Amino acid sequence: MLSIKNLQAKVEDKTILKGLSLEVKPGEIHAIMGPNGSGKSTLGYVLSGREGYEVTAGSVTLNGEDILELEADERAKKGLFLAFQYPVEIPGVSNMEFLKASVDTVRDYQGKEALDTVSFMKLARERSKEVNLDPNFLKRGVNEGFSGGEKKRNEIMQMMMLEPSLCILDETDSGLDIDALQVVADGVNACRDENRSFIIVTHYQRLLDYIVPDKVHVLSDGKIIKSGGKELALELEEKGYSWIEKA
Amino acid sequence: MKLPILNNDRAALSSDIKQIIDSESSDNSWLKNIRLKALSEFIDQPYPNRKAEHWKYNEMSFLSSEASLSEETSDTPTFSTSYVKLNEPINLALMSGRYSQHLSPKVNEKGISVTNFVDATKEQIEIISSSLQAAQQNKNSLIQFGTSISSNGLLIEIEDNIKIDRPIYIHNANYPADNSSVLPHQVVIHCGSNSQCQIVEHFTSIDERSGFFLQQSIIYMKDNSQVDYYRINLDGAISRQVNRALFLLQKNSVLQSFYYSEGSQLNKTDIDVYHQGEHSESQITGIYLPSENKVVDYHLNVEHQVANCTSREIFRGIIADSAKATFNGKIHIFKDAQKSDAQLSNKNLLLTNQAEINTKPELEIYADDVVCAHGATVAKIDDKSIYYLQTRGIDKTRAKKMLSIGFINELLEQVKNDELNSFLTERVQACLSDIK
Repeated sequence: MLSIKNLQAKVEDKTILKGLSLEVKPGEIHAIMGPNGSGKSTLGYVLSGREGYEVTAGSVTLNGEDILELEADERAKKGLFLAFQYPVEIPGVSNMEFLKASVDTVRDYQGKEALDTVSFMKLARERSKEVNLDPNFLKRGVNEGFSGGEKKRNEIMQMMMLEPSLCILDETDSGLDIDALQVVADGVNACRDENRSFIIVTHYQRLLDYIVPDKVHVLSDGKIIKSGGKELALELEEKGYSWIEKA
Repeated sequence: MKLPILNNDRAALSSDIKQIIDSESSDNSWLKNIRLKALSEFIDQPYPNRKAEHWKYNEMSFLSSEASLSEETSDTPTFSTSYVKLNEPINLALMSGRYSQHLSPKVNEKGISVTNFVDATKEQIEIISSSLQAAQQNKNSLIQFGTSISSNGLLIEIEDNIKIDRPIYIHNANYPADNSSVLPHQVVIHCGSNSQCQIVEHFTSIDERSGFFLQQSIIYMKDNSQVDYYRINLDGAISRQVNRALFLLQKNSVLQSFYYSEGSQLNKTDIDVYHQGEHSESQITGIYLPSENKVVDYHLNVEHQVANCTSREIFRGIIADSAKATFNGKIHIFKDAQKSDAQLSNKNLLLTNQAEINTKPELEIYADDVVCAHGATVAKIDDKSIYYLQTRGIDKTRAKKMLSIGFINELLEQVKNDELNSFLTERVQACLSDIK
């Protein structure tokens, strides 16, 4: 599914990722934890193709294909999805218009049958209910005036609509109350299947109570310094990061 | 007659124009008197040039060339293709500023009458005179010049207590005889007490000739009247215009107004909104989308002359290529205008490094118990928003288009007339279709 080898990347001459390697197999859920400034969000940006994030070494393949030369939209069409930590507000562009453009483009690229407006609307309403968003939000501007929790749920809703093969969730749990956390986790769990993989970037073990990972990695200073099973998250919660970083 | 509008020998210019006025038929001495007064206002004021704030960003040197003041046009063309298909409009066609009865079906709607200035009755003369006099206190001396050379005009009257459901569609098609033609246009719209109407003023001109158009509309709103006003400028690329819309709001009147321009060689519109009666409200919304090397210039002057009035001014522009836009928005709160509530916002997107915007929001407040806010922004399309759309599979070009249209869409919601809304939505999309 996803293969990252010795990935090094910099932003404005500052090297953030310093040789990160990671293998994610189809259907797996990987959690990436780590202290502030360790490069967690940068990893999401680099994988999704944000401008200004320059890869200086290493390789990333998605389903066997090198994606590093691709524009962000091309990666999305190939099945990569990034749920933002801070989703952007776009007044004037309605959620509906945005989502339709997005779903149409991605489905068309993937050779899936196009959704007519009626079936699209029906699906969009269903999905928004599943993440506990009032379907009327579809008429409003993208994330416009949304609370933090609504924005995160909207990200999950988009993920459900786009049916990606690799989902990267960048601190989707931050700023969520317990109920919203449950909704997000339910959304992710509903999307799980043997062909879809997840990378869940988080600060806290809490989300992993709801979304049980296959593997947990600790990212520190741009590298993965420890990997383990789900129990590693509990250990981190208890002891913090310093015991690994020192080791 | 051919003469330069900008002439350092003002006495000579004055006497030339007086001669033109005198040479016309003597039936309408009242109109001649107004024209002479406007002429003296024009002569007394400083000429438009870059030293004056009002003209700072405008290239006005063409005024020194010979201008043709005859109102004759060379041909009698039909309506242009960009006609807005309104729902059962009351069509009033003006060809180069002259009301064309030939192209305007007889107005049979109850409560509305349309009269040429030269055919006005005694009561109507009073309405026209007082409107034109109110319009004479104005920084834009060229508008006075337009009045001085204008031998006619159109009066539209809406009776008291009448609601006109059909939109009043004033389509002004300008066909200058040659590049030097100066074409004035004057419309006075008098809205009765408790009346309601919807007015669309649509300006078009041919592409081949520049001409110089001086177009003034004066809208007098009596107590409790409600007006939805739209001013759409779709002018020929090399045309030049200096326009003005003046609104006189009496007690409890409500004005919703909307402006749209894609620019031309010179496309300047002054919008003056005078709150003269308490509890009157105005909404002034505008969009400008100049491209190539076109110019758009909007000057707003909102005067809260009395207490308890509300005004909202929202203008947005997207400037492409090496186009140039100027926005000047002034809110003026008079000394006794307590409890005024005024807000002004101007936002701009620049699509290239050559695109230019000069924006200046201004507040002038002489009362102490008011709520006023103003602000202006200039930016490029937000990279973060582009990236966000890209991560959802939407390519960069399309993302930029969606974001630009979105930036404008918020204001298009103010266009309540469905047909006009669709028309403008299409125009906006066409304007922004070339974004790379």
